[in-house]
Amino acid sequence: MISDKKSLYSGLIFCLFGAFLFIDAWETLEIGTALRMGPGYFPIMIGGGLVLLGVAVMFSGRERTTFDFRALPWRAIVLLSVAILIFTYGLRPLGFVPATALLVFIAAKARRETSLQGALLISLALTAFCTLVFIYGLSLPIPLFGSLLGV
Amino acid sequence: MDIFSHLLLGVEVAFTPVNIFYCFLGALLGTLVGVLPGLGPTATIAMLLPLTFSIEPSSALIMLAGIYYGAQYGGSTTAILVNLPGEASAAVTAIDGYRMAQQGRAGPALAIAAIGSFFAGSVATLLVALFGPLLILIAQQFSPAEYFSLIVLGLISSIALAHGSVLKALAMIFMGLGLGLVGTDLYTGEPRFNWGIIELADGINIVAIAVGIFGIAEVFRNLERKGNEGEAKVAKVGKLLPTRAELRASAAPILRGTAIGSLLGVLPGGGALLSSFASYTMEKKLSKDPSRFGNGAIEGVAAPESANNAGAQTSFIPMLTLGIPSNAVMALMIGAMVIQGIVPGPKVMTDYPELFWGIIVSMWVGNAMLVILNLPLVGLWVRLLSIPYAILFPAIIAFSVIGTYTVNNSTFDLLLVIGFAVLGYILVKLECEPAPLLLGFVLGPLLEEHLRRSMILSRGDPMIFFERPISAALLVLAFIVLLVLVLPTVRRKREEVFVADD
Repeated sequence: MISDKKSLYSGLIFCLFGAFLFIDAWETLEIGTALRMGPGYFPIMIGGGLVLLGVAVMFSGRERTTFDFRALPWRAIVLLSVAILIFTYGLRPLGFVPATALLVFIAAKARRETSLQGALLISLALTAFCTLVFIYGLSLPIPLFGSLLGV
Repeated sequence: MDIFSHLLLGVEVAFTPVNIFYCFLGALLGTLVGVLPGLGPTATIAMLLPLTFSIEPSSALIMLAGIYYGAQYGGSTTAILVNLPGEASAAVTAIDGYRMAQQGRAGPALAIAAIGSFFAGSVATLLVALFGPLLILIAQQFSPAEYFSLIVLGLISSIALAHGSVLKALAMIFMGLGLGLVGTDLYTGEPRFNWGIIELADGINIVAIAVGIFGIAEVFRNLERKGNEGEAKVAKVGKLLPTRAELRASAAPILRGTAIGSLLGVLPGGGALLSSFASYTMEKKLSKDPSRFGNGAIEGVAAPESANNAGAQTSFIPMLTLGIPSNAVMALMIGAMVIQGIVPGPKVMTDYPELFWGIIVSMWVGNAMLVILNLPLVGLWVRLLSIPYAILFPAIIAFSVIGTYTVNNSTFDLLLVIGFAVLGYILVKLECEPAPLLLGFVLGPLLEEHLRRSMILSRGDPMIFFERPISAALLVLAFIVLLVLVLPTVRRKREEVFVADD
């Protein structure tokens, strides 16, 4: 077993990405020759190189390391992703102000210690600031309130 | 046209009210993010990249440049007063600077840092003005083969910038090259790795990658520590003016720091970070009494602060003249140019002289502003240190997300941001540095283009890269750099140098 888990996992990521590039290029793109390189020639080189490097990284570990997926800051990762997703799909129907307020509120709560009132305050202040900068300062063509809200 | 008329043109551009405003804004923002730990120039420039879309190219680059060198000034303030590197390249400044602050000499330490930075910045700006055009003359002789080899050298050198395993950094470069493939094949127009997604037809948006990997992944990292932000203990500034003896002791280190920084800044893979570490190590070696270092030696503040600012300035040389970025910030500057429709490379100086010379002169203007911003106003910045991260990070998120959306009005780019944030965070946790990935991404399409053009020129014979002397020399240099980086002694040294960064 490889005891350097950080090398093992990063090596795996490199291998997977490299293999994907290699196989996809091999199957869908014309490779060509060294003289007339097709669209697939360079991708094959990069993909192949990445697989080799990935394998080398996997076995390059010199010390014992661990990597615990459960120890990742899942609260932050999930809440921030959700916040961005809500902004992404809420911007059109809701409009700039509500979408930004939701984005900031949920993001602020990604930090456990921030209280509900604190998050609300941060959300209010930053939404006002962002509206000033983006809508009035940079005059972005996004409606302040969307059609869904009937304004 | 001689250098003076060039500089005069630069003065005309840099001194328009609009550009003075953007230069000031950049310097101000740079100081701000330099002072604040947990927000660096790379993340800030990534965040503001979309906003530069709507302003003039020269104003945009003047502002972004200001953020980069402004951060070098601001970083020293936090390093000296709080013993935290507000910005990675100020890490070594904290060693002796904070000691000086504890001894009640925070004022002189700050003053020397600002004086050294200003001197170094002025010299380095002049060097950019002198050597930029020379380098362009050489670059105009370059065929695709030389470009290919130069890019290889640039990519390999970027490994020096990353800590940890050379193999991992190399793999990260390849990962970046791979991401750079997405889009459309340049020669045939055939779609490549874009699965019919319209938003990917022109490739992955650099803003999405940069904001994800440098902006939001960094927020994940800062949020993983529980109950972080203990009130930072800020040392008293006291009187600012250094004594005559302190000034005399700093003069030579400032000169040496400027020289090292200017040199390392030009090299691919160089820039502010490497410069400050290298010059601190050198001062310690040269000192008659090395034990003073770590105990409040003013040389330990003067040299690295001069070096990081010089390095920050001269790292513009390869970016402006060759279109080859030497670090992640320069890669984003290239991105900014591309967004503006400017093709980076030796033609920038002839096609956009007002941009080229305007940036150079503005650097000097910005440096002068920074001295004023940082010395008399230091109390203001110190107060900023009490902005809790609880407020700072939602602001980072909001600006990143809204900004990214505005580049293309694309919701797809925001999905990419989430993906790259998670990927970037996991890679960092696995001890893979993201800077080489970004360089690979920016340089990948160029690398492929020059490779393919060279092979057509040579009728498919790869020996072309070794038969042309400059190209061969560059490749040999790249090979030596790689060799040196994996040598056991150098490897140990790098680990030693980067320890201070953690």
